[in-house]
Amino acid sequence: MSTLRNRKVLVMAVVTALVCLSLSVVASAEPIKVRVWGLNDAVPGGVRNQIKVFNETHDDIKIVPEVPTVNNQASSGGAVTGGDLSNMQKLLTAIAGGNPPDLTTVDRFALPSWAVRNALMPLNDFIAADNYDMNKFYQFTVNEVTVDGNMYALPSGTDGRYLFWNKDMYKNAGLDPNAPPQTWEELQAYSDKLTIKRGRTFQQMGFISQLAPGGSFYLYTLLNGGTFMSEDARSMTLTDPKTVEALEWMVEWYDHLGGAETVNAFLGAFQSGSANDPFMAGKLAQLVMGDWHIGNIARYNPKMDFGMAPVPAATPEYYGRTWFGGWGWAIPRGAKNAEAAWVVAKWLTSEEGIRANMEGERAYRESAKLPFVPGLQVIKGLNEQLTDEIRDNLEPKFIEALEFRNANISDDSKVRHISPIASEIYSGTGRAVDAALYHRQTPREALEAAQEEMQQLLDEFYGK
Amino acid sequence: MASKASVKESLAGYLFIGPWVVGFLVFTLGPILASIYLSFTDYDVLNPAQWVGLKNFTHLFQGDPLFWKSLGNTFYMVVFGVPLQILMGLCVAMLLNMNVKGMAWYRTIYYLPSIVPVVASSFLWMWILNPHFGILNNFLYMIGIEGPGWIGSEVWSKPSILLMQTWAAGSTMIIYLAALRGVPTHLYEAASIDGATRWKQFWHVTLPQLTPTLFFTTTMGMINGFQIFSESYIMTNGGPVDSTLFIVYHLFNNAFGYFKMGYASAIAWVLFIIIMIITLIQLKLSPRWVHYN
Repeated sequence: MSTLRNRKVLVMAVVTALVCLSLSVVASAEPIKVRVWGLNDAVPGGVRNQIKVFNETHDDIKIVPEVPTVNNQASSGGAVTGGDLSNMQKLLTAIAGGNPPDLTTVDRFALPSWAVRNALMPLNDFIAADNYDMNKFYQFTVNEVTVDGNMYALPSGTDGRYLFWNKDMYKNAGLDPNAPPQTWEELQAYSDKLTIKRGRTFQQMGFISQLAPGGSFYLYTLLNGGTFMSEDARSMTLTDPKTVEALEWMVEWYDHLGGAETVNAFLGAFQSGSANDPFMAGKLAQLVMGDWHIGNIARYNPKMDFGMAPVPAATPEYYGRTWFGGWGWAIPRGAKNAEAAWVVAKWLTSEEGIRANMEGERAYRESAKLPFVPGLQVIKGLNEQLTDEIRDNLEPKFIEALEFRNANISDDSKVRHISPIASEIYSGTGRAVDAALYHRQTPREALEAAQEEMQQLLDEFYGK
Repeated sequence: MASKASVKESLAGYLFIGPWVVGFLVFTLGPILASIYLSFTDYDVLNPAQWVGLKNFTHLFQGDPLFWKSLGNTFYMVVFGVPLQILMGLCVAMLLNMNVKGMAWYRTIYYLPSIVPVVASSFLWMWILNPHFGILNNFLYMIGIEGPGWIGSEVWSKPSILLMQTWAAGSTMIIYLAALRGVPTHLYEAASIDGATRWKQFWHVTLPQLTPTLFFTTTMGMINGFQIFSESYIMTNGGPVDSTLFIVYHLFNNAFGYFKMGYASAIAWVLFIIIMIITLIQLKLSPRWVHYN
């Protein structure tokens, strides 16, 4: 009896000791939790796998995803898109309140306005200490995250704007499905053949840009040889005749289709990049969209026969121009675990991290019996490699689109303006576009007003 | 001299309201007072505020056409929205005050929309108002009307939101329903003995009895109406052509879109003063038409 009790005591003592020991081991190996904003793990796919792989391969650091999406720019103004639920105010207050995430995604184009306000941590020291090779990224993405010589983010992903067209609709309209228009004149002729109206409403629309107003206008400005800002980004050039002409062309275009109200009533009936997308639904023959639309087509209407080319230009000399956007990973000022966050940022933007995302996304798409299309990456050479690897699994039309997309990105691809008032320019010009399209002002008047307003902001900012 | 028991009792009382008072002081009154100061500064939230005197206010009145535009839009919503909601609330409440079988169900059904979160109802209405596939335009098409572009149209965007708000007027309705139930039946009895028709009963009995409720719902409706934000934030981004840019949305854009918290505070105070003046006018005028008995 007593020996039994003794043995019990002994067993309990040993168990207790073991528990204590294991607890202390766990405690000493407790990984640093890096709070990340902008990793959306709410839906199955790439991001979930990315987080899983990182956490499995790193004993000392654990990614804790918090806010799924962060949109760091103000609403684009005027676009009837809806659902622009940005978390900008959340990030702003978190940084101001001294409790920011350790790592956050930023829209590279809005980054300067955060950086100049000292909201982000410069990464120069980390980059120098690791001798980290920023040259592996396309130069334009590095330029976008550089403000006054300091680098504030690691670029992750990018996107260019192109013409997409429905080849079956071309055939039905008697057009050569492999010869898209290259000039505005040709575009108009094509569009007229592809537009079918019944009364005031469209059965089928020939061509429209589905970018936000400010984005479309900037693209047409590039395609007309105009500019928004001077080279040194200190003065606005919105009244540049070429720029005004671009807006005049937009207004003409909308009027030709029946006016902004009719066009927006048509577009408002759809949601771009969803199952109810006008292009996927066969209601829109040609459009301007970001290259991410290849993925949308793969997801929502993989059977559609489509082509992809540069957006037609005013004159052939500007044909091939477009602008790129994209995101980056930045460490907010006051982040508790900046060093660990740097490790996470490096991994997320590394080939390994990107591949973890791709594999997760591919597995998910395959389980849903959908084709997998890799998104556009900012590491030089990686896009070609990723496309090669899936060459046998995708239909030629997707491969063609991906190859076109890959070939059109380079070190000096164009972006919007690297300016602390980039957000204001984007929404302010969007406003001018709306005012002109709805004939509240002439294009010149609208742009003169925007010019004055933006220039004042710039002057205020640079303390003139 | 207070007895020990009463001291204890009031202490307990203070302790009970304590959490609320602390919350109010720290999270409501504090920020309100701070925003007075901030409205006289340049403040981007991330860096210390800098005193600029009246600059924000002069810019507001002289250099910001969007302020006037958004103010006009907001007035539009209040002027049309408040009477519409009251009328709708009152009419539905009167229907729901009848003696019909299954009334509890009807009441629930009409009240339901008002507890649907704005985000959800906005998305729902985006579909209802969809120019091509929406139920509303399809219905109009059936009766031979070509419906407008609703939220995509500069002219119809505000009426669209009004329509949606009217659908969600359940909270006004429930107040009227309670008020209607509170009208003493002996007044109706007396009126019918005197030979008053249903209409006269409504005009001379029901309506005067409802004036305190009318006053309350008008005042609250206006205060809420001036603060309209979510619908346009979710459905229209303030467009098209700024036709749904309301003053709080303009404030929000400045505060969180353009890092101008000082300017946004100035807008907030101007809005507060507008609401204050209108509410005071209403209070001043109320003795002329509101009957308490």
